[in-house]
Amino acid sequence: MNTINGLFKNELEVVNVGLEMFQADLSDQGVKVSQVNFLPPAEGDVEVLEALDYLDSPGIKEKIDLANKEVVEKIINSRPALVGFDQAINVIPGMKKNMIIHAGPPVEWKNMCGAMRGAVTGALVFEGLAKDIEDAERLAASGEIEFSPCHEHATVGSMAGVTSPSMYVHIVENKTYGNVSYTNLSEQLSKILRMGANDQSVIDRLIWMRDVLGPMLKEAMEIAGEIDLRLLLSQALHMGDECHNRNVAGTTILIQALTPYLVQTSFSTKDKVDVFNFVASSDYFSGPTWMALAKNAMDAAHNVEYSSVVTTMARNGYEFGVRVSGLEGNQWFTGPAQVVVGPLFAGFKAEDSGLDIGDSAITETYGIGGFAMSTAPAIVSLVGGTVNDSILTTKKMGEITVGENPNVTIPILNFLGIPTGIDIRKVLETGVLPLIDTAIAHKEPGIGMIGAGVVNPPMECFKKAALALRDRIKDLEK
Amino acid sequence: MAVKTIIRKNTYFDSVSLMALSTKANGVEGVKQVNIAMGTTMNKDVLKNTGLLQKEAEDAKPGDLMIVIEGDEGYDMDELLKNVEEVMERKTAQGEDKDVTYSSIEAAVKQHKEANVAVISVPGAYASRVAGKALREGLHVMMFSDNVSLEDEIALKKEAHERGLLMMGPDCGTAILNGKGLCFANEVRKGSIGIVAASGTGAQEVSVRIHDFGGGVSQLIGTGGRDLSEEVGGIMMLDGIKALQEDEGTKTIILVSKPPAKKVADKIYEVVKKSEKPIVICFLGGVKDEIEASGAIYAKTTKQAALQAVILSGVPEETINKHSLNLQLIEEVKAKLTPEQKYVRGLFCGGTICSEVAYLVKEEVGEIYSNISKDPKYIIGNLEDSKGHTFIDFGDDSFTQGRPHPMIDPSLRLERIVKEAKDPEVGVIAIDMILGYGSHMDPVGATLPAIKEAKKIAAEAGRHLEILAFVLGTELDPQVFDDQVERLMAEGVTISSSSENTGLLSRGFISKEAK
Amino acid sequence: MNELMIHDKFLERLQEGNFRGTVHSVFQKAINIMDEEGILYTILKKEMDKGPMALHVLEDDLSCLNINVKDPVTGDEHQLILGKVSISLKEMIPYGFLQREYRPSPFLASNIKKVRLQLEEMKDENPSPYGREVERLLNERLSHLKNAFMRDDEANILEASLKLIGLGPGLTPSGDDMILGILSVLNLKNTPHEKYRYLYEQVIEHAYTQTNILSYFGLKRAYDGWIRQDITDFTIAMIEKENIEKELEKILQIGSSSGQDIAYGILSLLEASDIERKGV
Repeated sequence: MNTINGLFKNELEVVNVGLEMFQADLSDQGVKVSQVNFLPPAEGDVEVLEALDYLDSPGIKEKIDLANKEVVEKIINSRPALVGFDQAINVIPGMKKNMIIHAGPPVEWKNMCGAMRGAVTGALVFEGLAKDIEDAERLAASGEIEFSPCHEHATVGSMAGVTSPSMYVHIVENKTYGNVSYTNLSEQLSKILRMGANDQSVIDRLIWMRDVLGPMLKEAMEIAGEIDLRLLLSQALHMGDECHNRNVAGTTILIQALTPYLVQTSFSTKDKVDVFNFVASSDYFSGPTWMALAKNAMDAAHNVEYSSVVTTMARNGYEFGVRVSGLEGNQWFTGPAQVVVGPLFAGFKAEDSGLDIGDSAITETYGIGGFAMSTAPAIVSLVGGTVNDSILTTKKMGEITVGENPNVTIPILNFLGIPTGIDIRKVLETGVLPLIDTAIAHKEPGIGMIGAGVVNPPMECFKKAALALRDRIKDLEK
Repeated sequence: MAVKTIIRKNTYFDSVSLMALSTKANGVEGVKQVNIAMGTTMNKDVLKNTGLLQKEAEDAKPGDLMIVIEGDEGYDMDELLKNVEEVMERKTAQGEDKDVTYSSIEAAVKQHKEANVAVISVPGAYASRVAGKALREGLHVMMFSDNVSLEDEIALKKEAHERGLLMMGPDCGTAILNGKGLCFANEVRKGSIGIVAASGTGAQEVSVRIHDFGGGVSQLIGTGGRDLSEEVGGIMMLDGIKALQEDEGTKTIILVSKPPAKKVADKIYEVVKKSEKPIVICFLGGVKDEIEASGAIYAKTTKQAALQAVILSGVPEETINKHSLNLQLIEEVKAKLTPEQKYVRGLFCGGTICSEVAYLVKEEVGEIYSNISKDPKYIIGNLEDSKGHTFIDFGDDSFTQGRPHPMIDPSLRLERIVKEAKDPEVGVIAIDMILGYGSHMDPVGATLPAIKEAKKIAAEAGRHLEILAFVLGTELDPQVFDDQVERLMAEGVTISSSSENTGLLSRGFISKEAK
Repeated sequence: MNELMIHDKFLERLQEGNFRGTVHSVFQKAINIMDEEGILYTILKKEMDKGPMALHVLEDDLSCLNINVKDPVTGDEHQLILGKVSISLKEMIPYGFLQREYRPSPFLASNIKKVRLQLEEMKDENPSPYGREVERLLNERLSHLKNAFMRDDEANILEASLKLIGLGPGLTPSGDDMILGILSVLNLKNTPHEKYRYLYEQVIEHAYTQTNILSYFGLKRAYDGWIRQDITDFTIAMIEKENIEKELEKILQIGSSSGQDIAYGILSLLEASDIERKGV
């Protein structure tokens, strides 16, 4: 026990919160001192501070901690496996012929950003529901098309996340908890539907993916049975991917796993060559796969009463939304979509950038991507940092998470597990926001990807979630 | 114009990187302008025309990168150059662990499981939450923050009491734990005297006098100024006394405070009565009989408290230099002052020093004015002209709103020193210079210009102005004590050796009777 | 756009065999190689436009390739090896630089006006005293050069050009970029000042000692008739096209301010030519 007299007998070791001059003076005297840089919790919002105090009160805090422990165990114990590919209409729960599911929290057509509008209209043309983009815009605005967030259909979608009925999707099954998750296929290059591009080349590629790539992957997985994705993810991290912005290793080992089955399919050699060339054309091929894996684990961890762990972070280019395990179902807590900071491709300026978009932040929610930056030194320059900065980033994310995932580790940090289970209480208390790696789409429809960088969610999401969690727990305590 | 040039031999950055570098370099504090260009003859000509060409650049080749830095006035160019190079270098070295900072106490404790004390200096509105978390993490707390509500203070102290932890503060500026000074503290000898103090500079003064008299300090526990109020009930002082009674390293205990609330004083006397270790009590302005009735040793001043405790701790009395009052000096000074120069003006950074000196002068002259006077009749505002004997505590909240404490930044007082010198009725200006951790690294250097000016004003008016300075510190403090004293003496400043002597000398200099 | 390309002259050199050199400099978009004869070659990332003595590779960021300055380089008709990285020349599509023709259209005058306006807008509004001085000298010398062309004053064309070499900020000093722009116009067949092109042999020679080696080679290649595609495209667009936005945007993306400076060079000589043509 740390009593006063116990203190007198031990060596002094200080945690200094606030003025750094005190830290310096203590260091000069040879005292071990660690510095806490103080930011006003919850940005000083009085109501949220009171909610935090309630969540921190005796009796409540313990219940939350216990629930969070359960949530993190579920994330860690989830064993997502790739079990197949199929068309969205055949497998995605609630999918309809006139439905388009998209990234982020719910958003109406009139509020959709350029990239999403481009993707929606492109998808409508691809589905044959509209004859051209202009016609598609009219149709999208007419109310005949139902829009719904991917996340509400056990699905995630990269960037605009636009997934239409006949597109092929991954099918990922949680071998521990049984839930199934979906995500569409990578279109590879930068001028693609998910980035808002929708010219004929984009549509043609989607058609080929529907007619050749998707069916071939489906057949291959029928032969393969299943592929353990968590194992591949952990290998990819050891090979220098953070599996959000860098997927070089992940794509290599995924295609390595798929190849024996792809070559056994009934497709022509030309089709197979086309598929392999397509996979080779971009490292991003496995990007969606890791998103589906993360979604699969996070869905298993959703709906645990009292838990303050974030199970979804997603953006639609208009708003950033989070969901929290202890707030059941599809309750979204949103704030405005943020500006992504990062290098742009030659020829684009900062003002061309669309706001933060995509469900890919599910990877950070799970603990990879920006949270595992230190395992991917090759891309730290992308975010203007050094290798040491990336190590600090991973450690910093450890300050807002509940625990570490021992199944997915980072070699450079002595095989420390990835930071797992973002706790809204910790985010608000520390003022440290999750760091998300992401791509940047052009703000106008029809153009595509123009860069990559990092972004934080708006604090507002976490504030709203804390207030709702307080209300929910008060109800439960009645 | 201050210019420095860096030459990078055969260094090729692409133009975009060059732009980024120059933007970064231009962002360094103190940099007026950084110009980056390849070392071509033409570019060197332009440098020459604009007066920026230096030897290094003259020798540059077209393949070399020239980085020309113009500094703002008053910046050390070598330092600036280093800073610019730093931002231009890509950091490659692995950061030392000391570079790691945390965003919450929980995170820091997770990585430093042996941590046992939290020092908290965050804005008052958040200090209680932070302290609560620290206590729940099992840390003792020293809270430097002020502006914390009384209810919060009581709740925190009760929680700490239940957990067996220290809750020093809010508004606690000084502590010494296991020989290490926290926040504002002096470097003093380790020894067997334990101190519990409700006042910051009072505690510093007691510890420094103990050191000066040859004794040493085991622990110095701060309580914060409100601990002995009726509402708080002396929770921290009582826990502190108990801890020191149980501490094997402590033989003698000193309590330092303003007089406590009656109920609290009674509780303390109860504890003192049962104490096996001798307790010296210095409640500034406290009642001698009451204190002695509890079995404690009464000390009128901080100096006397230290002296009593040092003798009790076993230092032979005859070896102690007690710095008794220099009566001859008093006569000399009195002789220099005109009959018109009848007032003392005390301008202090340390609150307890101000109170103690004022108290001693008041004993002699009866009527003094102060910004910290309890009697509304004798309160004087910050900007009001001094009248009669005036004592100003520059560390009072009304001065420090939004500004650093004068112990950190003594400049707040300079103008006032000069102003008092112009008043023909002023005979003595008494000031303190507080050394130690937390304090300004050269308070004398910061104050000397005003002292010189004051002396000059008086000399030009044909009168002697007595400036009396008390340097609170030890020879072990990070500031060099002897150097501080010598620089004051060189300007004709009289040095007093303690807070008590500052009071006694001040009143002596202006007393009417010949001694 | 996806196929890998190589400048035919570079390929010819590699096919001769026995290509040896070292890596000279590494940037994100380009790696420069200097062979044993001190000639510079460039590896570009795939999105870049056609460049002189260059080949393109499928890589987004060349500085991530783990190729370092001074790494040895060897090459033959099959492959080029830089340090530990080998680039296969199989399926590389060779390209050349065709000489274009000066065929002024009615749009030239309005293009000149439009581009000048846009360039003026891009100027740094608060330069340092040093920056201001550089800018003043650049303006003065470029207009001096333009006037010399207009007056057919051979001596002054040479003098003003020489004085621009090595002047100004950037890896390729602004003055060099302006000369590059001038050359891109002078290279055109039937260009009004074609007869003064020979003067630039001397300017290039001067540049060898008066600017850095990368910039020197850029100028030398230009004199040999090989200029980055985006620059030539802009020059032609200025002269012939009604809408030049796309070409202007591309040229402005070169370097940090290099594109602007090159455009200034092009503009100045086109102005001189256009005014002359009208007999003003």
